[in-house]
Amino acid sequence: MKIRLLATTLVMLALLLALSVGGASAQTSQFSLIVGPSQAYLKILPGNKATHTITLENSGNQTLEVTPKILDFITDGKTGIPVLLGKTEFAYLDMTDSLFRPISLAPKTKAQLTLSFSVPPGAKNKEYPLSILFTTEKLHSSLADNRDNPSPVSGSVVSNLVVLVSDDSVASKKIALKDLAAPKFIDSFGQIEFAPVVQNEGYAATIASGSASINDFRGKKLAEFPLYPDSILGFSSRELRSYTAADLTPRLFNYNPPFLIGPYKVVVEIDNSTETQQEITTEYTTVIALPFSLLGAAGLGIATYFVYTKILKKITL
Amino acid sequence: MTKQALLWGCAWMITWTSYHLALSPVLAERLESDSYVIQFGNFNVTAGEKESASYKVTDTVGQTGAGPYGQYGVSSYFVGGGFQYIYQIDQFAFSISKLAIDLGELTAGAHNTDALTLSITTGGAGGYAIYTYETKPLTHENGSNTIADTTCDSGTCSESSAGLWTNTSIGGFGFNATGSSDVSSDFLTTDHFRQFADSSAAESMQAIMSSNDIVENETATITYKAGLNSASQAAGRYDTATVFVAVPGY
Repeated sequence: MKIRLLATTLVMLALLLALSVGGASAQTSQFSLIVGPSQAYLKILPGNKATHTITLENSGNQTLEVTPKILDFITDGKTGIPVLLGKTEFAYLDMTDSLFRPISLAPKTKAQLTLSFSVPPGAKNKEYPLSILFTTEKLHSSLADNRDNPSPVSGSVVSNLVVLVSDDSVASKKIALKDLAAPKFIDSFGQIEFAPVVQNEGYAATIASGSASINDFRGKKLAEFPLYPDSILGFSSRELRSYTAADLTPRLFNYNPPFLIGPYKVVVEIDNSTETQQEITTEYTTVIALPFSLLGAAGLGIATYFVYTKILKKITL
Repeated sequence: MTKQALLWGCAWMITWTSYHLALSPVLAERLESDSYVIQFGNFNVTAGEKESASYKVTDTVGQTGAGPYGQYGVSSYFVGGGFQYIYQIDQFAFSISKLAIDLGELTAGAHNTDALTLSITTGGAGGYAIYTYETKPLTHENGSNTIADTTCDSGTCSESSAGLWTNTSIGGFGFNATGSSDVSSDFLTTDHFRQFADSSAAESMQAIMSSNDIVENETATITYKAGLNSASQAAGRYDTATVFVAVPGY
């Protein structure tokens, strides 16, 4: 009996050992990189210096060789996703030999990259949207490793930094509505959906604030949408978004009651106020809701009646 | 006759209206969301992550005049005014399940595949995009033979537009992306493939996944596929390097 118990225990232990060894060998290489902050804004007064530090964390299980590179980015005019350009024309970064040297990052370790900026006195007021691209490669432990993995895969992660060189004492805010993007006519069973696009006419990034509303022909407010505080970079445009108090995630402007009829006024109020001056810019458009599909249904009903009676007549003849 | 026709029309109108009213949603505030994360406690009172009085401040003091840049006159600082700037100090995480793709020995009349998983977490409401490219066309280990990027069954798919690719007599090299609503909409099925943009031919990297919102552990599976065009192409092992670039929104 004891021998049987001992044998069973040994077999189970052997099985567990085999499974754990199998599990380890089946484990794949993993790239996992965390960068922070993902987005930052830095204002530098001409004649001054500034620094910006980015932290990288290798949360994967492979040692990575990370090489930083700075690129300019532009906006796509609609979303907040940067479009990376292949190079940078930013001239105020203090270049040192070690700045763009590859960093070896062991698993579960962190590294920091500090960028130093020097802006000469009299530098032109301008905004510089930059992307710091961290290109990574897995460090091959041996030649055999390299041979066994003929098609390497690598990952790169970006941290965005918008540098503003400015000697303006008060942040100006000049957001203008470029397009309200609301339809002229909609069906009564449809919904009022609009996607306003604004243009920042200033050279510095600013925050969208204000609200949009939908009013009926009597001027009664049917729906109100606070503007999501998205950042609009200097001299660029962006599609506005909204949010609700219950759900702070950004959402589209959408009013969807069971039935709509007549004219509806879509109003967008953009708050261009600064610390010294109150200014609200208001734009509106009218959307007319008509029962197109209802009239279509009636027409279809009448048409089918005539077709039906015609067929009935033919059959009876 | 006309009266009856009008009555018939009215009946259709009533049916159509009833259908729409039955379909209309119950209007109620949604109090939960898959990506609902409360990271700040108030809107109008000063709050949040002040690191030093002279160097780094992240604050929320109401929206009038709020902006990404701070007060004038401080030589080196960062001020985030407005609640979305709580997101700015958040991290951006990107993972790839494996760092090598093995398509095995390629032979005529068959497609070989291998897959990896991409995973992304963003703290910022600006969203993200993942781009991809290859550094060179798929090249035989002898270094001289290459396999062209796939043009799919119809001969029309490209690095920016996926196409159906199931015919094993049509060779090439491409990839499919699936498993997330953030994946580009041209990947209609798991049999829809795109070419990798070829950086050696000066092709621009292409977005394959994106969102304008906060995401947490959004995951997609990338399936690589390759095949020989004809028996005259050299069988064997082929390789290339592929890169995935994760870009946070602002």
